[in-house]
Amino acid sequence: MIELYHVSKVYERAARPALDDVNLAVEKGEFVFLTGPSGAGKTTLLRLLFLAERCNRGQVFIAGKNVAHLADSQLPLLRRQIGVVFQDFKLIDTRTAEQNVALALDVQGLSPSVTRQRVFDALKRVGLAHKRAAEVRRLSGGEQQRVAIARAIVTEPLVLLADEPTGNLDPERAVDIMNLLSDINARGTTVVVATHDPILLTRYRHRIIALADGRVHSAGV
Amino acid sequence: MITTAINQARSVTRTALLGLRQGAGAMSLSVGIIALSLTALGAFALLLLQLSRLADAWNREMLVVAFLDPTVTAELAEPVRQRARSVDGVLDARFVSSHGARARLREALGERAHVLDGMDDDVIPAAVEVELLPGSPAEQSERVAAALKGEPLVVEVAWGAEELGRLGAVLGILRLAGGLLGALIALVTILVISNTLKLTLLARRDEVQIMVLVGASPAFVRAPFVIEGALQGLSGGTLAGGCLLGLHSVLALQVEQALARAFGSVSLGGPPLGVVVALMGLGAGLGILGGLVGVTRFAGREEA
Repeated sequence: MIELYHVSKVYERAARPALDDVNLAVEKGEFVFLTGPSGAGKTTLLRLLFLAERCNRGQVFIAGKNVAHLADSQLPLLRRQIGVVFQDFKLIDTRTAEQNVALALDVQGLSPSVTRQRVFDALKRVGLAHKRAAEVRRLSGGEQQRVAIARAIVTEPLVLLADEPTGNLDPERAVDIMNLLSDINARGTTVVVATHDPILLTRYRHRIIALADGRVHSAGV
Repeated sequence: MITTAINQARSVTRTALLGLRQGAGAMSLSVGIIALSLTALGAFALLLLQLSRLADAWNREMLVVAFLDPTVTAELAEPVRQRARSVDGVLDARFVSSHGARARLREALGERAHVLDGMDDDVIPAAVEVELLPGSPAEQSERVAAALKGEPLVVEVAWGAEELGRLGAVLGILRLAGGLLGALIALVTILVISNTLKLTLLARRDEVQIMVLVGASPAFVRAPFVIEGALQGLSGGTLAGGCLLGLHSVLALQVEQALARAFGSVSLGGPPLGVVVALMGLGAGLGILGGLVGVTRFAGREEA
């Protein structure tokens, strides 16, 4: 599902590459943790995968498409097949949970009735159907993260990328969110979670790819 | 495909309306400035339009009058009349006797006709009045006048060229000033709208990033802001149109009287609905332009 060959990313005026000759593969339906200390390159790698950045060297394949050479006009179409969850949720806080989740379908031009149904189903999966009309700024952190996950899965993406999804949550809420991500993975979605939380890494037995100084340091369960 | 486009258009419009509601304060200020600017432009355009109409009417009604000795009869004046008719662009030429001219003046003076009492019958000279073809240029009057000045019975020729020339010069200056004012107001409107939208875009930067993240195309991201610009411009134009109608109803009579003192009888006509519609269209057009400039400048900054 995801393949990286000799991928390097260098930011302007940076002392060293953010990613340096990275090779890795994530199989379809796999759940992978991406870990490493701050500055290891986790976020850069995720940004390459959700097409916010392009690499300077190497090849990045997502669902068989080489995104390193994809035309700008093709990026939005591929982004619709990738769900992303952030530590800071990235929700529009003046809108309701329903409106936030619907945004992912609005850009695709689905009919209002289909959108309404799919948004309801997604919110139900994350246990927030009863709060669909609430403005997200009135929800707790855990609930906001669940709305973000609902937005990420409402398009039924091939890949779900999560950058420190539990970073802003207390341990109890963090477990909820991880269980939800595991459930999504169990239904066939490939999940990549970037985290430096050792508790998550030990509690959930998934493959771990460790990065250090922009390189793959080790990979294993 | 069409259904998808309609659904996307619906979403984009909804986003634009939400945006307008969220940024109501800045938008109101922007609409107010646009309305003021367009009202000034509309008032100027209206004045220019009326003066142009006045000049056209004068041009259409313009007569070249060859004054003759008061004792000249129709038979004696016939060669002058024929000479006038032989000039290109002349519609008709007719003799008016001294007596006939006096009777016409008496009728025109109405209640004040008594001022003519006691004057000699031949106080007003006989004349040949030459009517030009509609739409004839001012130079045509000069050509006819030159042809008649050479006739032996003609004492003087009058054709109102000076007044028309003065009005033409005033109109020329006003048109130039109007063009400059229009360009300036267009620029101000575009800047106001684009800067308002740029502020809106900065305030909603996260929202834009989220839209990109979930797979929105650049057009989908930009369209709501262009619609917001168009709606701002249209609102400003509509307000300006309303102000103009109000000004027209309050000031039309005074302006008519002022113009009448300067140029004779003048009518400003009914409410300037054409100008109002033009202002609305102009406002919407400038709004779209401002929206496009705003999102392009913002995109440029973001990419940088």
